[in-house]
Amino acid sequence: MTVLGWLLIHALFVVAGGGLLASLGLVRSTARGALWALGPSYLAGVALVVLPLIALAVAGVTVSLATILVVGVLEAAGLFAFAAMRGEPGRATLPAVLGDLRAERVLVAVLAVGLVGCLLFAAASLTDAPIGWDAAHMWELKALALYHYDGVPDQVFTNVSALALFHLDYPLLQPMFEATIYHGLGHEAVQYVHVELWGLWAAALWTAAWLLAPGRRALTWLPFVVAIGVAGGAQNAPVLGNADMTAGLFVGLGALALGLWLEKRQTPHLVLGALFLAAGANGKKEGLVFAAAVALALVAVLLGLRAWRALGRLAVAGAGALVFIVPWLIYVRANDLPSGDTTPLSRMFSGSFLVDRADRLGPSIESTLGWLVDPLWSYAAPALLAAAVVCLVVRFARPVAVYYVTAVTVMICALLWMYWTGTFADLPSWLSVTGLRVTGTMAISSAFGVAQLVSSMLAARAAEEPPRPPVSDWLRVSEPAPVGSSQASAQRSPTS
Amino acid sequence: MSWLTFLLIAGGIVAAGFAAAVLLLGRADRGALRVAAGAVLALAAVAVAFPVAKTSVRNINGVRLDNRGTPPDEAKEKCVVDGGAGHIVPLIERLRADLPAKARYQVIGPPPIDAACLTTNMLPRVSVQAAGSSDWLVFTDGVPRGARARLVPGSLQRVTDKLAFGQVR
Repeated sequence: MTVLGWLLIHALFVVAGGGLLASLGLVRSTARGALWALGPSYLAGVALVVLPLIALAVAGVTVSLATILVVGVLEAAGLFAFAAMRGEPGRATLPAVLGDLRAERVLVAVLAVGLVGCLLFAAASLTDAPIGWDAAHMWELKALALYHYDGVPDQVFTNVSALALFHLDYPLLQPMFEATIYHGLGHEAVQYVHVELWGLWAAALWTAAWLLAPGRRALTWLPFVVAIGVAGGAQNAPVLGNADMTAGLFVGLGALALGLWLEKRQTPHLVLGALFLAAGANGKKEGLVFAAAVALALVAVLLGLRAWRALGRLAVAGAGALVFIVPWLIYVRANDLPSGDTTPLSRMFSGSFLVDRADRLGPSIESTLGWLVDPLWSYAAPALLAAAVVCLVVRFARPVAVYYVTAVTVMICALLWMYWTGTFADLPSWLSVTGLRVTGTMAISSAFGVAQLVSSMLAARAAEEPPRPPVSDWLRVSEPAPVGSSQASAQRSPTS
Repeated sequence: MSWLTFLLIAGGIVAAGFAAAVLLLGRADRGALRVAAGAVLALAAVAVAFPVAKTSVRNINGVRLDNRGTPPDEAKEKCVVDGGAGHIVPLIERLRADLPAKARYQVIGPPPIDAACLTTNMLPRVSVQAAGSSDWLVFTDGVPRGARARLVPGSLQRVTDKLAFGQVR
């Protein structure tokens, strides 16, 4: 029964997410196309099923296995019906380009196999992991309460007198996801859930690859996905059962999808970006702030471009995302749940509060930037800065470059603001405990941003330059694609 | 000086891109710089990925070896032990075995561990603070004389001299 339940709940995620991708015209109607869309379908399905469940739970609806099934099946049925009416898939389904050199294909295979191997080994290593301190006090506590009480029991969720210290205001994406898994399994599985959290990360990397691949040579984006995928920093939260990676991967994917929308202006990317940002905002309080940073950067760039129509579409997508974000915020407000470590605005701007604490800024900057140049995050953030500088100098894809750098900079500033004004008195301890995990969103967004920028930079070359001389026979793995074929046209960048 | 390291890494990549454009492509115009910098970034990512992966695999293998064979209850109890209350683990295990699901219990005596960790370990049994709304009493510092009268006769179970629990009448 456990295996059957596991299959059922994961199939539900895949079908719901697959329905969304199909309705957006993002799935090619072949077995290979459907298989390639499996990872993104799963991740989109997690967001699509869990976010409404949060809204239902805080509205007082019982969230049992039956509720989960009804929500998932209704969503899948509606979306697939829409997809059937819609007909042809959209432009975003261009095939991936592996490259026509043998060495290139070999390197792509080595990177892909290495990444998958690392992810599988890490998953197998997490099966017996204990619950970390924060998880036991916040995430697992809420997940178990959601599972055992089919909703948000007052004894846990509004028990301010006993649990005020433990961030009752933190949002519910991860606890609800874990509770959904437990409902599928038919019992709680506090150690196995680490593997599920790691599975979200694996699905996020798959989704990033799936978003980046159409029409771009694999070697122009895959190294960045692999570099962040194997980064040691990514393991921290799943090992402990924390929600930082869950929030970070959704915000990072939201940033990537919206970055692709900025480049190509294809509606499916906008919809996915809004969905992923809404999920990220429900991942953690920092996730909400970082998702807002991405949205702010995008609005700023569109304002700079005077792209009024795009701004209008973004506003509609943003309103859709807010529908999923607001329910938990209303619940927090309605139940007067305290915020554990943030200072009220009225106190921040009264007297000399900010000036008195200015000495917290230096160590906070040192710590935050220190983690971003640590190999644990694969140097993704400085790489983004370098890619953006080149884009600005050579006047290529400047809006996209400015968007990513602004988004990550606003994230860094928001984090510094939290350290500056936060109530935690022992700043060095706070920095050492939180530094690695809260910089994850910045590193992930940076890595995906570099992948998009570099693949565009290198793809543009193919369209601009005259046809390359014939490749030596010993390097070729197949006959050259005729001019006008799908492979030849796929190598042309949509930015050129 | 992490900000300097940050800028040096970024500047180094840009400089390497410029050098690659000049030395390998023979020109430093926009197109050459863009392609060269893109190639430098992609190659740098490949170069970084291998040592990073090696370290990550070593670290995650350490996690595997450290936790091999940890049973689920022990995984939950880590916060109890880390919180300096390892001595109450036997009580928690007895409570989980003997209290029915969704039972309501009241802790009598000094709380041995914070409420969040205790709740995580005890769910779906939940703690209540009002005397009249509990089904069970949990004693953490001996059984007070008056409390015995509130219990179902014969239901008091002693785990240690000070740790005990019993069912409310």
